[in-house]
Amino acid sequence: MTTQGADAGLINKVKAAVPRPLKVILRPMVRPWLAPPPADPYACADRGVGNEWTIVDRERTYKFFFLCGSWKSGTHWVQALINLHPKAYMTGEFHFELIHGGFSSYLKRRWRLPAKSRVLQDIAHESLRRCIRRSMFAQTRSHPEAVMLGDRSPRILKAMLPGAPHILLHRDGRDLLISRSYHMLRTNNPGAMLPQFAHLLRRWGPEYKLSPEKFRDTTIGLLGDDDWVRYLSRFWAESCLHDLKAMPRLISRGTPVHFIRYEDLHADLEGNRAAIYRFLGLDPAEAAPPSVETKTLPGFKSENLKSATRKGQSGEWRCSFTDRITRIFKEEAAEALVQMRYEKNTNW
Amino acid sequence: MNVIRRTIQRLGPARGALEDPTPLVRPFFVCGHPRSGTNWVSSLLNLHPRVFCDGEFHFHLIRNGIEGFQSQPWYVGSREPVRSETERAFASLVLGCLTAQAHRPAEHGGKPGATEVGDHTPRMLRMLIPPPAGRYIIIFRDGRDVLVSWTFHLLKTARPDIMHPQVRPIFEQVLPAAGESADAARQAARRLLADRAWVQHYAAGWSDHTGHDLATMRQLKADGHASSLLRLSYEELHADTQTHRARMYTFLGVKPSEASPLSRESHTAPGFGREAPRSFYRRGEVGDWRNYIDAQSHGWFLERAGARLSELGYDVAPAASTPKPLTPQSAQPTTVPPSREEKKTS
Repeated sequence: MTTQGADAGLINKVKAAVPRPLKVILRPMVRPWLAPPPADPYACADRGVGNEWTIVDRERTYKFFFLCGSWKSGTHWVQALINLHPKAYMTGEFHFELIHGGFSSYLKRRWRLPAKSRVLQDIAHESLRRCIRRSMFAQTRSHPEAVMLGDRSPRILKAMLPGAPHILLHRDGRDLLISRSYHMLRTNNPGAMLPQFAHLLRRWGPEYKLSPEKFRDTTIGLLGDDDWVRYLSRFWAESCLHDLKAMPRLISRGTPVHFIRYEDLHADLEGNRAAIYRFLGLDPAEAAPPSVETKTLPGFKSENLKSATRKGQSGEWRCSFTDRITRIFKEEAAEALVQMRYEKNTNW
Repeated sequence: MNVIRRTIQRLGPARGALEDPTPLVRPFFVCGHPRSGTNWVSSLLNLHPRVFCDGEFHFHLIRNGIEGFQSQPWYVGSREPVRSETERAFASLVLGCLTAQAHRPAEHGGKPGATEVGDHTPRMLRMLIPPPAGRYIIIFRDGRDVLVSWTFHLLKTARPDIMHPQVRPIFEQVLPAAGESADAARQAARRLLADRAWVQHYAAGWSDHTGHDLATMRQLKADGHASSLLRLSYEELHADTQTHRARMYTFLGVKPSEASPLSRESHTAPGFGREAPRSFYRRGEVGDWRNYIDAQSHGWFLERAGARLSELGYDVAPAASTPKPLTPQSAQPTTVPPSREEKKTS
């Protein structure tokens, strides 16, 4: 037990032994002799300074930002690129949208008390924002030199702190379908899968571990299941369409959004990463160069079916799509593919 | 506003709401299955000058979000220090909201002198603020009376869109006529209560809800928190309101002798004297199900929830083959005062 812990134990014992009326009399006399409560290291994040996404700690200004987009669309890669800059530090996955969803349910039904009271709504909003700021500040203290503090969470676009810069990343849904299917087989975690697909992992997961090469055949594994292909295609299409609608709305309300496509980042890494730094108000010249070691160069040397960084290529879907997968994908996501400018029409 | 700000600052994350040695308010939560008497318990508690209970807050919806945030090992929220930060933020939010509501001026419905502040929300028993700082009152009621009460409630609110798709068609059939008169509402209720899908759907839901609550209570007791939990039964409260409300005040650490007396006006006296099928305060009787549920429907109910009724100590003997006819007095048009919601609507 630490000295402080021992003191606290002793104080609690004395407090329990003293009757309440005596405690009331003694309290003002005893309090000055007791140690002050421990300082709160994150108190600076309780309130925004000038806006909801800026805080000041010991005369140093910190700003928060967010990276979102579908899973397997390159959010890890963009995080690694951002972390090449000494004044930025991004970590994840926070998934504040889950807490945000809880607050939305809490506030929306008209017969519930919070929906009727402005004071309660203000307390809820302030509480959520304070929780986000404090959590992000607490988690990024390992990099005290960084002043731009970011969260990477694969999710749809939604302003977690109004006004904070948001980077939105998207990737061709066909590549995403292939990448996500390999990823789920590799991690083999039925708990992270929707219940209706957990049986597929139980069926194929152990086999993938033994001989992943076998799963290049897309008639087996997750890609061999029509419902899985349909679900993922629809999920991608709905996410894209949601984000395309949300982006102008957020921008018009004062939340800047920087949109990047994975394929563009591949084609012009330097130009796009410089644009990201500038979007965050940072000088691109101060960033370290991309390297194989930091996994910041586009693509990987060779395909590794047992790694989270499997291949990192764009257009890989051409080798894996069969007529069946193409038909299902078109039924669910043809329109989104055109709206995202991956295809001009559905004749591909 | 100063009182609210001071309380939030004091109980907020900076100091740690649960570690504060002298909190300005002490929270409690009233829960139970919908139509089990959570409103009545709240009204009884509010007869005491140091107790303030309001609702429905539905804090558990935020709790669901936080549990999702902490659910996966690769989420930052599942690890320290973020896990504790979100817990503190939630405790601070709950206390902030309860205090803000309680410490409004009296003319706006507040009770600035209240030290025991609570929420009544019909919901499953879950820990929002860990005991002993958070105290929980749970009320149980005979599932068959709950079924009858909820059936009338749904007919009153007339919202088939919020119903389960399995039972929506039967509601859509009876709803158009149900709003015409009190008798029409009774007839509609009888039709619904003779529908197997509706009776069994509801019985299964009630049984699951109650089973979850009983399991949570056992767990709380096993963890040594029995003193932070008060179990009530609607029927016992009905039979001896004075004794059981005194138990509630004592549980919250206030003197029963300081509470105001029961009255019809404050909806605190047991029952409402007569039946008002289209009021929030319809009847408030024990065993009213015998007037509406026949032997066949009762059998359907017991198939799904008989074991749970027995576990709670209710009689599961077969019902009469036809429901008891309504007494002339109970069938009279109502003179019960309108509910809060009805007053606001008018």
